[in-house]
Amino acid sequence: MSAILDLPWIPSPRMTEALPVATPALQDPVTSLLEREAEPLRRVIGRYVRHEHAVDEIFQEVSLKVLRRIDTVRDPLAVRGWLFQLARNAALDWLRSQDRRPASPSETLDTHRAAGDLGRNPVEHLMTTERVEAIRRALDDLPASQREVIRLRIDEGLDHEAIALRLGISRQAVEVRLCRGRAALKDRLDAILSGDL
Amino acid sequence: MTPAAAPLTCAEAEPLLPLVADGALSPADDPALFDHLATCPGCQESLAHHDLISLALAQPRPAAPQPRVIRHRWWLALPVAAAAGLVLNLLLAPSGTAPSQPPMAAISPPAPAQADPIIIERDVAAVPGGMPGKRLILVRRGDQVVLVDPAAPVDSPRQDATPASLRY
Repeated sequence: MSAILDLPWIPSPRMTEALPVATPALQDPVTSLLEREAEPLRRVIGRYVRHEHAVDEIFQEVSLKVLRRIDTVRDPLAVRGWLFQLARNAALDWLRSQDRRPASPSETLDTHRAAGDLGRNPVEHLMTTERVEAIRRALDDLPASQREVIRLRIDEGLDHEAIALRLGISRQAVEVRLCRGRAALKDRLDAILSGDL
Repeated sequence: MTPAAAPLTCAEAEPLLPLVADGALSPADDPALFDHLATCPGCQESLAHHDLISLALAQPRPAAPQPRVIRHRWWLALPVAAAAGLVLNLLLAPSGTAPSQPPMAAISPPAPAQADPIIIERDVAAVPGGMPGKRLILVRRGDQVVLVDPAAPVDSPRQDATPASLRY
C-alpha cells in the first residue's frame, strides 16, 4: 500500500468507526506502525526535550493520539508527515505546559541536581536566559515592518488574515514579512548556538 | 491513490519552515514538505530552532528593575532637628548673652529647674512650676547652662547665674 512506509495495512475510517478500538486485530497495524516509527518519532521529540523520561512520556501521548486519530489521515503517503507533526506538536505542548507548571514542593534543588540539571525549565535548558534575551534584542533590531508582524502574531495571537486587516496590507505581504523576520531571528539563534555570539 | 509528489529538497523546504513554525502550514496543506521534514534531520533541527524562537518570544519579558524610590520620613527627624537646633543655638550664642535679647538677669533661685523637667520649645525653655507668665531662656555660659529672664531690665543688677540641669 505504501512503498514509503511499507505499511501492511492502514484501517480505513469506515472500518475503525465500525469496530471497537480495543480489538487486537485492528490494533496490530497501528501498533506495528508505531513500533516501526518509534525511533524516528523519539528523535523528533528529543530535539525539543532532553530528559529520557520526558521523551517517553511524550511518545506515549503521541501513541494514544495515533490510535485515536489514525483514521483521519486520508492519504497513506501523508502518514509519515502527520506522525512528525503529531510528535512535534506534542513536544511543544509539553514544553509549554512545563513552562506554566509551578514547581512542586517535592522538586527540591537536590532532586534537580540528581537529574543532572539546575532546576530550570526545558526551554531554559535549551536556551539560557542570556540567549533568550539575545533573541529579543534581535527582534528589536528587525525592520519595523517585520517586527510589527511578528509581535502581532506572537504577542496578540492574531492569524495572518487578522494581521493583514490590522495593518491594511495583503496576507501575502504579511507572510513575506513574517518569513523574512523569522529567518533573520533564526540566523541570530544559529550564531548564538554555534558560539559566535 | 494520490500520485506521489516529487520529494522536496532542503533548499526548497527551508524557506517554508517559518510558516510551519508559525502554524500556517500543516501536513494537509503540504504533504510533501512534511514528508521531507519527517526524514530530514537538518530540516528538523532548523524547524526546532524556529520553534524555540517562538517559545522564547512568547515568554513574558522579565520586569524591568523599578527605580528605587526613597521615601523620606522627614517628620521622624523633626525632634532630632529641634534638639540639634537648640544645642547649636546654645553653642553659638555669645557667652553671657542671648541673641536679640536684653542682657540677662540671673535667676534666683534656680532650684525648681533642677527638680522639674524642662520643656524645650526651640530656644525658649519654660520651667513648669515656675512663675506664671514668665518665659526664660537657656543660654550657655562657659561650661555651664543658665536660665535667664529676657524681660528683666537691662540695667538691673546682675546676679550670679546658677547652672540649670537639662533633662531630655
